[in-house]
Amino acid sequence: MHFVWRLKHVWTVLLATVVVAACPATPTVPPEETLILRGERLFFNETFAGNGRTCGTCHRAEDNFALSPGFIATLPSDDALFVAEFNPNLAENFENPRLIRELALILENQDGFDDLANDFNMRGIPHTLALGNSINSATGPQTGWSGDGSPGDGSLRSFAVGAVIQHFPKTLNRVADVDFRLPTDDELDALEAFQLSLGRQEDLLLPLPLKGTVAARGQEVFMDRTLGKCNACHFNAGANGDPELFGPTAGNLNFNTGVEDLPDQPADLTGEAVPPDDGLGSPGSGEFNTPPVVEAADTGPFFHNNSVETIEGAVAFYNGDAFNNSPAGQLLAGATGSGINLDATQVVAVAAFLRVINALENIRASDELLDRAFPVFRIDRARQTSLIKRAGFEIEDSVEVLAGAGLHAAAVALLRKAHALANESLKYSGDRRRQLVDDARAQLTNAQIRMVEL
Amino acid sequence: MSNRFFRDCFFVTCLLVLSGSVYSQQSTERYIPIGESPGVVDEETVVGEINDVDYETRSMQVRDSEGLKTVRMIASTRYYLDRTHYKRSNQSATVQDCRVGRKVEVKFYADGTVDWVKIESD
Repeated sequence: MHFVWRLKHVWTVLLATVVVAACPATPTVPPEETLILRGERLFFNETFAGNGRTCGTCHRAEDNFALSPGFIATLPSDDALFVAEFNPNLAENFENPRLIRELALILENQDGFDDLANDFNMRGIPHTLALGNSINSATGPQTGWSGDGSPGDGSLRSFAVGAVIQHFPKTLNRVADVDFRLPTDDELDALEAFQLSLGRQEDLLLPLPLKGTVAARGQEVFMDRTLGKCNACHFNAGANGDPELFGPTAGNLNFNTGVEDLPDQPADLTGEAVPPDDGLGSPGSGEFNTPPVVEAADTGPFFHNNSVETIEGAVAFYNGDAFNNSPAGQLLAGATGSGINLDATQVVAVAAFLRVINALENIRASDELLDRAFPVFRIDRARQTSLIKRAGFEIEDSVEVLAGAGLHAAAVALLRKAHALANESLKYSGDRRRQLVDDARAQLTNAQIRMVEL
Repeated sequence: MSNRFFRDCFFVTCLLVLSGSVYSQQSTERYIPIGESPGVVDEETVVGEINDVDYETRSMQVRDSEGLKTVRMIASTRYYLDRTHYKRSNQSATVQDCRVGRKVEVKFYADGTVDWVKIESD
């Protein structure tokens, strides 16, 4: 009996060994993916022992890693964004609650902390998409609205240190290891990897073979050196200067475009204290760095002070006196013989072009996120769900930027289907989820081919 | 206007724009304790003790484990008093706070001029 039991046991072990050996090994998670995932968790969850805010408090995945008044209106009153409203230590000189809620403006002490009551700027929250191809310049990385948002070596990696000190402290004493803790080197590496993973990894190559007639005309105006002149500073609709004009390594550039001189800025109209923002450096040069415009249409309000609400208004800004009398406008006029003077139809055409390339980027990004939800390596369901949800936000945005200007109605209908399928997939797991996601991706492709020749 | 003129104008301006630019945050640096500024420690800074300081010429010698380093403060140099070890808020300082024997961290450029000095408070 004992012998028989032993024989059975040996056979069982042998059989199990054979079965295990025959199974294909599950690929391990690549190290870069692990680093990105760690960065993502830090970005959304780590408070650095501060006032409760995280990077994700202001850079919301649901809102294109930026923040708009419309989204803010959906947040509960105890959200850490509003910490100045419920933490007495931060009640004065930390934020202006009204300007956060109405205009999504955040307080920055860009020129120092010696006079908190008077020396501050109110700035919008820039998105963190396509950073890898937007912040490099001949003189080093340019982070934040004026290119000087990072302490230490000024890099994206160091950015989180400055952000923790500025936005996360428990009190305005800002003492390390009392009011916050500084991120470790490992954490900075992970945060940088996550931020660099967001959005486009390369610039477009204009002109695109667009199918929409108005958007195609807008692209021509955008690129025309005698008309829109946009491509000079937003080369290929990105954040870098045209290498033919600025040299091959110029990269991202700073300009004083006169945004601060706009009349009737919403923040000024509130009557709240809003000191002039002098941009780069201290004292400032009046310059701000050039943002990419591929991601513009779904990341308004626009400019460093959220002074313009719509993409059409942002394009029209370059027609006005504030720009044409600014140092950048004067330079452009001197070089080309005139300022920018577009008619309303041309403004709308350029905006249509920006809306379409934004939607195409939404489609690309959502497709990539859905693809990443089903990797060759093992992925947990929560992570998969998170990726599908993020894809859903991107698809939603594509619908909004197109429908907002009556563009590509057929594509919009397909994008709505894709969104519904992606949402439906969240109810399931396994093969059913996979099938619904594949169907959503097919609809994305169908929408894409209605907008651009593939 | 010719494309060439357009290009030349932009190029010259580009050089002007870039030549005066400093691309690291000035203000939050104040609250980063000595030796913890990201990406610059051991690369662009020296941490040590002030060995000598000349307020007239604004030059300073800092001694670290590798020897003496002479640096020169300029008009744009920023000074911070690091009081982190007392759990107190860091402050702006002046060149007069650079005193022999005090621990400092100095961020300097390739030509030996100083971007900022963090001085440990007594």
